[in-house]
Amino acid sequence: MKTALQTYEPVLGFEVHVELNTVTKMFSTATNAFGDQPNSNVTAGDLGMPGTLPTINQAGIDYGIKLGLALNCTIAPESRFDRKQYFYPDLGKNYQTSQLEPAIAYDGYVDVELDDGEIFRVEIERAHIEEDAGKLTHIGSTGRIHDASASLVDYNRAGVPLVEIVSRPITGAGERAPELARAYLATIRDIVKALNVSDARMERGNIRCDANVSLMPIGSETFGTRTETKNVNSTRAVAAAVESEIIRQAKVLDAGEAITQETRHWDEEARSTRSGRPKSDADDYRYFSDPDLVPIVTDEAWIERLRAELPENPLQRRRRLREEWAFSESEFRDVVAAGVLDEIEATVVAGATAEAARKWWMGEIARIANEKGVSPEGLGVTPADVVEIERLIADKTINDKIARQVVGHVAEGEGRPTEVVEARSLAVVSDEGALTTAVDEAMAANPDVVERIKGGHMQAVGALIGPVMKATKGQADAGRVREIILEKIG
Amino acid sequence: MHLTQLTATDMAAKLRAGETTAVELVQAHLDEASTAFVFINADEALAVAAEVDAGKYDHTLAGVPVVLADVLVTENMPTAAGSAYLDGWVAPYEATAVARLRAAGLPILAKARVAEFGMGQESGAHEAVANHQAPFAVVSDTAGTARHIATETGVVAVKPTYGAISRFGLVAAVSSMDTVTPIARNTADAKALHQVMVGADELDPTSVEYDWDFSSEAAVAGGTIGVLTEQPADVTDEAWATYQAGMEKLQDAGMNTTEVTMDTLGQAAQAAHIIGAAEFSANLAKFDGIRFGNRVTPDNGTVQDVITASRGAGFGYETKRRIIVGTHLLSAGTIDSHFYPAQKIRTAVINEYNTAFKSVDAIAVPAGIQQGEEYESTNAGIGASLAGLPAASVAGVHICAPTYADELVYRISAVVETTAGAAA
Repeated sequence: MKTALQTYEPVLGFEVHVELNTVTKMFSTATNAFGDQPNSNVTAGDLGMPGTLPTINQAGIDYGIKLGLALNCTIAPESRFDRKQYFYPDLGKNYQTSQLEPAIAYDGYVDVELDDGEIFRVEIERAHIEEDAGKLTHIGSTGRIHDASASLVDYNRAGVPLVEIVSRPITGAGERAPELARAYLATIRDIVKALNVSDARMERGNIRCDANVSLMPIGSETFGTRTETKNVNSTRAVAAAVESEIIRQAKVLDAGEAITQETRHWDEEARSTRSGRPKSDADDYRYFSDPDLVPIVTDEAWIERLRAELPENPLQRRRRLREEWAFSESEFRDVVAAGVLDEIEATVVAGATAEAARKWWMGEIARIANEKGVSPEGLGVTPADVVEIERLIADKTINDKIARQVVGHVAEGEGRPTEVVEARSLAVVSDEGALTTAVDEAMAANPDVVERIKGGHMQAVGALIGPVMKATKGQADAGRVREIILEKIG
Repeated sequence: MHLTQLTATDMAAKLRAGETTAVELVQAHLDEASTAFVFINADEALAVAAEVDAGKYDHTLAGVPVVLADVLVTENMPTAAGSAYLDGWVAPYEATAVARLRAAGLPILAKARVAEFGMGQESGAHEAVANHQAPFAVVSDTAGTARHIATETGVVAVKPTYGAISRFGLVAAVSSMDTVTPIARNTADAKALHQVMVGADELDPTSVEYDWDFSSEAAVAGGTIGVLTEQPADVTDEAWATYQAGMEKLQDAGMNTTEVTMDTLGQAAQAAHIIGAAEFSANLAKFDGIRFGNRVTPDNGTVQDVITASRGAGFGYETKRRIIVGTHLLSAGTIDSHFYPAQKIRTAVINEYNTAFKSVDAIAVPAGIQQGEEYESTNAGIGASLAGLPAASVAGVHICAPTYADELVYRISAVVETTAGAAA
């Protein structure tokens, strides 16, 4: 890619489809759910049956406006739904209800944080509400439509609300284009997750990204011919797809050939894009205003009510938390990468120090979760549990080593930490008599060590603590044991 | 007098007075059934009538039979909308207007013949009402057709304000103009039928919330009606004489008349053709042979082949022609040269009506102007459809009024119909 970028500047553009997690579909009362029996969540309207009419899901409009506000967009005072027409069996009406002009939200931007903390601002052209299509399964050797012997269609997804976020062309990313692509998609995912307007599970297609890439000679102001790589559905893949497309296009241009304007598909196995269908700007969808639906007229009060419900912007939140918690850049990045930011925040809110919260979520909890192949937050250890364990350590009911065992037992569903400590008799031996006896026995068994301590070799104390801990099955407070030893020798 | 010769209102009165039964009424009409009907719902109509006679319903029209144009979707009865594509199809849901008729206890006698997707001059419902096979019927009025056929057959059609009666379950032709419309042999019966069906419906976002009140007994005296004072070139002498007789009735009833000319109406028909064909083409796209209706599967056919063959076999010539024209009108180039300008004309028509209604309460023109082309309606009839106005075709007169003034249209219509030769 480096070679390519000595000659060309990449221009990127993204169209991100976000499936909203409303209870029902955008234009019908059918349930919006993933993974149900095919064609179980459909109304006659979803099937385009005669005489049926669409109805508007108000929650879908609210979610669209919220997403628009989170992307710093202007919300249209009045927008409409339009029919985007094309014959394809995954659309019950053979048109998709979408929005042409204006979109519900337009002229916004989103700040994207790159790996080194640099902020790259991506301008948002529009975010409009539309409906998803059904799902076709092609029966045949390749799974593609042109050589299928039959195709099955599932309309459960038909009519699920989508917001399509369209960026303006992005220039100036240079060699960081793949990184920006990944960070942009991650930023959109974080925003919709924080808004709770989508399940935001990319592996289920809740967020789908089309990446537009073109190259122009460095110094030029005229964009080159672009390709659109469809449905790149992970942050890693979008980075790889952009990089692969930059390299491919540079080769084509270097050979003096022209880029074909087309849609392309990301091939995860081959790690490259392959040609799809030619796409021209003149694709004619015969859009016209849908006469079955009334305009969406927004007012200040409605918009402000939704604005007041917006959560903190994820980027700002991350910066605030890093500062409040005083984590180093790398510590914080690891926390974000591990996906335990929410858990640490909740643990801190519940009363633990940030450092302790990080220690547990990035340490023992992460280790056990990893062993079990689940995510840390899915392990069954709650922020309150972590706070309780910290309290048990602080009041010397248990020590660090026992505390790690307690976490394991909590994860096994044995109860809350205090219950586990009680049920398993894990409390530290605080009986001074028992400790003193154990120390005496250890000193008697190791006279040479005692002599060395007396001779000033203080680190040798450890050689006495070990046997004491063994005698108390690990349930002694090591600090107190050290004190007793020193008292006796001192 | 034979039961079928009564008005619906009189049938209802006789029922309430115990002078006849709903079963007798339904049977009397079933005995008259003809080729105006594509499906005769005898068993169910008689069963509902028996329930009415057993006292199950308390609506004043309960037991008075009604006919539905076959563009209204019904459960338990096939709906074909005049198209081979849908022949034999039975919907798993019912039009809101039909559900309201059923809830009020009106036995549904039959589904009446329509032109394909209701686009044309065929109307078994008008025939049936005119020939006393039903006291009244529910049809669709898109761009004045139902009002025009009413003039031809001598019945009364009153198109409500757009959105007053739910479109849910009406097989869509031109969504922005389609209006569920009552027809009857007199104004009072149409008004009674209208009231059973009127009112907002959560299944139709374009239905309107409005506190409808049809109880006014007020006279039309003192109101002002916009009229034509010169006979237009395309109005026959006979039609003009009928119209003038109607206007005299209004003057006799105390209405002031003042001349109103509508400059934009000259382009109304063209605008309606363009918008109509465009919406029609999109509305008909769902008929693709995949999910319902009659599928045609060519040997080794692809999905596209199935769609093409099913539409090819299922649609008649006029439907195909209109789809092709509409598709073309929405395509790049023609959408700018035709469709958007047509929408502008529509806005101009609406604006001109709004201006006119500042000085008149309603507008009356001859109903009998022949356009001779697509919709066979008057320009004023088309104008009312473009503007969503309530409009009646009664005794050779076309009356329209501002949106929501449906009740006024009925009162004016009731005065006009007393013109000699027009009463039931």
